[in-house]
Amino acid sequence: MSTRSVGSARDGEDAQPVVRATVFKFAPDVDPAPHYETFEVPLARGMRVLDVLEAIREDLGQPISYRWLCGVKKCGLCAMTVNGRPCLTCWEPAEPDMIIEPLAGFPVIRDLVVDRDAVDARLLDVDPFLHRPEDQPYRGFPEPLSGAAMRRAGTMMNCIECLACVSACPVPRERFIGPAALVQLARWAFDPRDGADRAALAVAGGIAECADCGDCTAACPAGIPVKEIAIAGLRELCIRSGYPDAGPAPQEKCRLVVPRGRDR
Amino acid sequence: MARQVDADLLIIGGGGAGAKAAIEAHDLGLHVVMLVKGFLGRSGCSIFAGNLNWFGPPGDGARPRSEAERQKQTLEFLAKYTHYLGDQEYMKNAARFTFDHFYPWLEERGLYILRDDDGAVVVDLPHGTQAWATKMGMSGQIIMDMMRKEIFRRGILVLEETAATSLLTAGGAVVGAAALDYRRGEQIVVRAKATILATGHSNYLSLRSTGTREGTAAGWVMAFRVGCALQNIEMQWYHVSDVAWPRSWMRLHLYPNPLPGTAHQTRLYNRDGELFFDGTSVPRNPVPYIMQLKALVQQVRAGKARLDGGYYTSYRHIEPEVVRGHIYQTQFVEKLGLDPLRDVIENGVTWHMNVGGIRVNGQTMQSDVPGLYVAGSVSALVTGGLPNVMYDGYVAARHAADEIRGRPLPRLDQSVVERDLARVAAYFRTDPEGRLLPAQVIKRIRTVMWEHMNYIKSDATMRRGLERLQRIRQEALPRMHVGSPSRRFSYDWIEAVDAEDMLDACELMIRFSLHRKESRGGFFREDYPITDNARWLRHIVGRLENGALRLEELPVDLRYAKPAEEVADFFAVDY
Repeated sequence: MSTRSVGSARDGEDAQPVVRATVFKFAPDVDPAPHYETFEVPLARGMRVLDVLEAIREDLGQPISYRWLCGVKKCGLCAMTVNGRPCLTCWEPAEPDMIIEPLAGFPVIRDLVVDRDAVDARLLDVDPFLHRPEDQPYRGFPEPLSGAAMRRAGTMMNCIECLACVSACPVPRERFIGPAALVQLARWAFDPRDGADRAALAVAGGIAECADCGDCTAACPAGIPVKEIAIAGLRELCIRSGYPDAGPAPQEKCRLVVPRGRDR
Repeated sequence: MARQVDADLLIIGGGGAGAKAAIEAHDLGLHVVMLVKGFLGRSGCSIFAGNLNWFGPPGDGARPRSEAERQKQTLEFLAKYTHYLGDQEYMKNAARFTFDHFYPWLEERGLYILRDDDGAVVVDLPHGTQAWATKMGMSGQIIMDMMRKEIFRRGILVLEETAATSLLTAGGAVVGAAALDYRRGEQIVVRAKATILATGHSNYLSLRSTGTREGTAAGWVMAFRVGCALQNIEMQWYHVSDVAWPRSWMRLHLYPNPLPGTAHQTRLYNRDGELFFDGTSVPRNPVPYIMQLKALVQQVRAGKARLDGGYYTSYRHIEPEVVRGHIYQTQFVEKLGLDPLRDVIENGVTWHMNVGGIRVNGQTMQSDVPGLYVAGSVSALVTGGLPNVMYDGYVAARHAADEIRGRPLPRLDQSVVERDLARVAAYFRTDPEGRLLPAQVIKRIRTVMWEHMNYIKSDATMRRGLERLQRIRQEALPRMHVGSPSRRFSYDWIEAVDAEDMLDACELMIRFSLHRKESRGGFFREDYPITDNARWLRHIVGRLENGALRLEELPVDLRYAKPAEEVADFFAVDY
């Protein structure tokens, strides 16, 4: 189904460029099967993928279900799969031709809305709270702390839990807690004030299963070096803490796991 | 048949105020239920908190000064921030709370307040009015993520993607709320001994607005409908230096406040490349947002800028390490292919927050209706601010806990319950006669507000706005349909409820605005371009009486700070 737009040209341009979006639709309570619908909307200046979806609803009056709240890369709720890749739709520019699908690797609630519950629960499994050693209690604000000592943890704090990295990760979830949970774990592991056994949590989370493919880093819209800093840093911590098997995956493993990964 | 849930305390809203109230109440032993329209800790304005109030703890070493001096400076700043309409006693208590509780409580649990490599807290220079959690622009997101996790850790029942649709009353008191779980397409009734309404700012009422999409004034309207008073809701706030495009980034704020570790502020240039605002050269600039607005109006009148574009922010004069390292917005500028150290960024105004809201007791957070507390920016105490709204939540929870101790659950009035459930169910129309998605109606409402209730207003534009809203109510509202028979994640269903709420809220707002015949800070009328403290330093208060809005004026308590001028040209005052 193709629906032509009725917008007028901006900036007095003669030939109005358009964006063509083919969108996954599926309402399990009324549709027998998923299907795709194609829409065209005028290309606005700097248009994000999210703006295209909004135009389809607000201007074309066509219903699509999707999540978004902040529009500026803070809430982490608008990640979808666009042209086969995980995409934070408020962050990435609209492309002239797009296939927009629910974020790969998650059960579909309706259309572009996925069920995050199972993965959100994992983010809590890494004990994402500060545990101060008993002999280093908090003595009041502001506590002694340096910017240099907090730099790595600060990088981890850029994570908005959008789960694009989890979508990209090829390792089966039964064996591996996933990159987002490890970024959250690293945020505390790298915090000089924390005294919990973060290495044990990394090992329990299956850090040895990570194939080091780097697809998480490539997918992260916040530019966090997930593999190179979060996971590598945790591996290092594990080895120092006496878990020798948590080291970097041999290249062979990466070659085996990636093609056989979850959605490939 | 709606599912019923019982609670000691119902909290409506999952931002800073609601989250703090939930933790406090739970830790006091109450059974708490939260209704959150979006996601806990991810929706509303709280995640947008960029700067954190900082006047330094007394004698922090950086600028030793007395407690009295610090308080005086804080109160004068806050009074101007609210154009002298804020509750000053409340602001004093909230400022205390900021240092006595907000910062230590969060830091003890791991919040990182940006430090330099020598360990000093990074603040703006020279006055030290702001601090940041890791990065300018990220404070709210990180704090709210911590709050979310603290709530889940306690096992508090949080119903997400579940929007309260009405406050339920029985015997003249609020006894809970009706709600729509739009993820599952089910209606829910929550019965509670006390309710805290913490729905946040009613931002999303104009084409260009900050905050998140669900801030559609449901809080104001639900409270108004059960007999609460609204106060000063005409006092819109606007951001000047928000990004002009793309559309979804309109809430990306290029802060005019002094930047981390520097005395610099951003600069504004007009269409012709002329510098028209530099905060560092304005002699009295306690509230840069308002000074930017006043400067912009002059440019718009001269045809050298528009409200939706044609003027630009520049970071070009600022230390590169600050722009690259300490500012969240830099990545957005670069994503557009611009270099903030060399290029300027086009801006447009956005409606951001409101000084007014639901009238409450500033010491207890009680509303005029028994059983109902109000916390956070939905109330009329102050413009907002994350430490302030957490103070509200803390106070409301404690008072509610005291009030309901030993009480049984209230009885619901089934006729009230059935009425709201039926009202909401009726919006789920799928008949082909309907031709408009609620999103389309909402866009029309927001367009009217942008065109008629923008920063620059007059009696004529506002009355025309009322007419156009009335036409939407009569012609567009009846044509709304949800577009699909699916009840799963029908955000269209919630938007149908929102559309009617927004119409009510916008009409109320225009009526309040017509009443205030002056200009004050974030509220500007071309037909009354004076700030008249003699006549208009009053609260404009309205409530429902015999089915209609009744407006009155109430005195403002100026116990700690008073404006210097009686009557002045609007453009001559610094608030």
